[in-house]
Amino acid sequence: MKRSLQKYFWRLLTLLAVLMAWQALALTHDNVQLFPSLRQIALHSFPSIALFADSATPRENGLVALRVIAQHSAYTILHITGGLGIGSLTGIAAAMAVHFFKRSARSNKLILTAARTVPLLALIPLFIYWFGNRELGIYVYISFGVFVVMSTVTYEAISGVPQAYVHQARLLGATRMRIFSTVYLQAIEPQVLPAFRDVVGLCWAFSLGAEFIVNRAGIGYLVSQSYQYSDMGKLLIFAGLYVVYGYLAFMMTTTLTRRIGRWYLTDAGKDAI
Amino acid sequence: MNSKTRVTSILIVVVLVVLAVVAYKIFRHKEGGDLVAPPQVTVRFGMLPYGDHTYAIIGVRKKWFEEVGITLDYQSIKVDQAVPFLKNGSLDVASCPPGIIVAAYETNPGVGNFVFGSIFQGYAIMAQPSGGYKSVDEFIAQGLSPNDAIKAAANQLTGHVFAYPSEAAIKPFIDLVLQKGGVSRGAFKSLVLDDPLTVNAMRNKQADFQVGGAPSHVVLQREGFKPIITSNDIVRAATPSPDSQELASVFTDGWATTSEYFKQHHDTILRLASVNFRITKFMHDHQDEALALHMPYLSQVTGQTFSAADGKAIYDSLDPFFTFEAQKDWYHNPQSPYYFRNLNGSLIGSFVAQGIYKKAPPSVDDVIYADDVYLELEKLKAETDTLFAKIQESHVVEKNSEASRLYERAKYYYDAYDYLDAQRLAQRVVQLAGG
Repeated sequence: MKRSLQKYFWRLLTLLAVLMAWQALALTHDNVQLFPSLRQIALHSFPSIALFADSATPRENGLVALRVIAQHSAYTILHITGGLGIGSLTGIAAAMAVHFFKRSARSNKLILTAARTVPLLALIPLFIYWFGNRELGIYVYISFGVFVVMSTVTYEAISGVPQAYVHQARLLGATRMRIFSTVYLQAIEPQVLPAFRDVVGLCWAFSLGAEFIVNRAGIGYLVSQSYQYSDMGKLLIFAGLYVVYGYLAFMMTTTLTRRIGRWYLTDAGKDAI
Repeated sequence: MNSKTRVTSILIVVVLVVLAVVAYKIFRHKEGGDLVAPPQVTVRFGMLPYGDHTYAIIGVRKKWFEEVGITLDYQSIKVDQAVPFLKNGSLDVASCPPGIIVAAYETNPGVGNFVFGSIFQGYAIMAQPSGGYKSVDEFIAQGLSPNDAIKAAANQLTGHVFAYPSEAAIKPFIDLVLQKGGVSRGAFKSLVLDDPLTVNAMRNKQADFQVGGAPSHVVLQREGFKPIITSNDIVRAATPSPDSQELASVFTDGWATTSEYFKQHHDTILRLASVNFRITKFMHDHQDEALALHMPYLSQVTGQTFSAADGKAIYDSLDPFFTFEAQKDWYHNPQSPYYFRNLNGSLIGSFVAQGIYKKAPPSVDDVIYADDVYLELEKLKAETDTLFAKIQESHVVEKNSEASRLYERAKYYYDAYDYLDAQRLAQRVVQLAGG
């Protein structure tokens, strides 16, 4: 309990230090448009997010701003959840297919390597042209980003499974399906789970890029519109939001990873995650 | 029920629901028009998040699009998305300036503006307020001629840092200022950045001068930066000719579509144009009411407060809107600087001069369909006037209630600039009169 309180105390102190550093920067530069002070951000930039709400009489309002943030956050989380799910499943499946279809192993590896080397930022103009302003483009973009990471990690993990385990399972009479579920899937967990946790963090960046371009809804859309008018206060708030959401996602996936991976994680390993 | 049966039942239900949804989408009855109302059509419409491109919201709020059978599926888009979204079918119509259509012509031909609403004259070279720089008007007040004043104002850039974006629409204005000022690009340090970043460059004094789109102009002017050369200063020296380079510093703003959509949905195009003219008339006659509908939407898509006063500045100086009647010279008077061939010919000329076309450059007719639409609306108007005269002479509206109803509706459409439907209904009344 005491250790937990100490941990939160240091985290709070770090947060306060960051805020004070920003305030010091704002005071030394004395340029409210470029370095808005914490007061400016709290009293003006934050309530002005309410202007994004559909209203016949738009005005700056903290509660409406919260509603706008909640609404667009929900869109972003939906985009990420969809993209993460599709990308993870297809990435893992593709890596397994590449590994297990031995007849075309070389060309499969080539396809996987080619997919891995495509720079994601370069895909954005292509995605605009292919998908236009449809939300499908956002899901596909995030899915592709996740696919690339998960397929690479999964392929490496499967390739590293000691064949002695497979032979032993065969000798004991296991069917192919049983070997797959009890040997391969278990053996790749220590590599795939941490990669999944890392890709959850990356998804926030993917969603920002996709929503920035396909501006319909989401935090990325709000960032895009704020960027157009060089609204530094709003940009800082949205940056902070991404930090908070990224951290919460990290906490959730860490808990999940520890739970699923408890059969192979030592106590030291659990603390290290 | 065992688990296998349950799973099978669920799967069957899911498949049936999916099939039902698909069948609905394929076979749903698209509402056709009755004798009076035009056929219903959905138009996917993109608006740039600026004052001169979001005015369609007035028509949405007043339900004028619905009255002519159009459901407007509108959304905010970025300037670099307008042409790609039109070409890939994501949008049917986009509000955008002709400059981006002309700039994209080589790789994406077949897009054109079919109606105009305003003239954008909002470009301005902004200067640091503490730099002691003078504007063109201040030089004129000192006794210089307009051309010498522009030269003197532009020469202030020499030896300083000038920030500007790389977007195509603004290039003619920049080139023109430098040319008129006799300033070469080597005489100053260029800082080519995204529009919002040029604003920050001015704020942190990285740049001494800046030019950008309307958002950066509005933001910097609010923060006290000084406009020293504007589009208006340049266009004062313009001659009414496609060869007049000065005309490239202003341009008409309006709605664009692909040539395929223009041909295949010609009636929809005419109705959209009619709503455009209805909106600009409303903005002219009821400015306060128009601002009350327009500015909230502009605030919503930009996240910035646009008050009625800001809107007035847009309507009165940055981007004045023109009614159907006021646009007559644009399509009939070659001596007017704003004659569509002069303005757009000058714009195309400025891009040709920079050598951006490897193949044949566009002609004005390749990128402007607005003259066809305007002249066709005038023709329909004239035909409707003739039909109304016949209806008056026949007195059919006094004898026939159906004719009276159609005639009232025709007059309503006529007043709303929807001459297509006015002519259609007036024709029917004449038929009822036995004409």
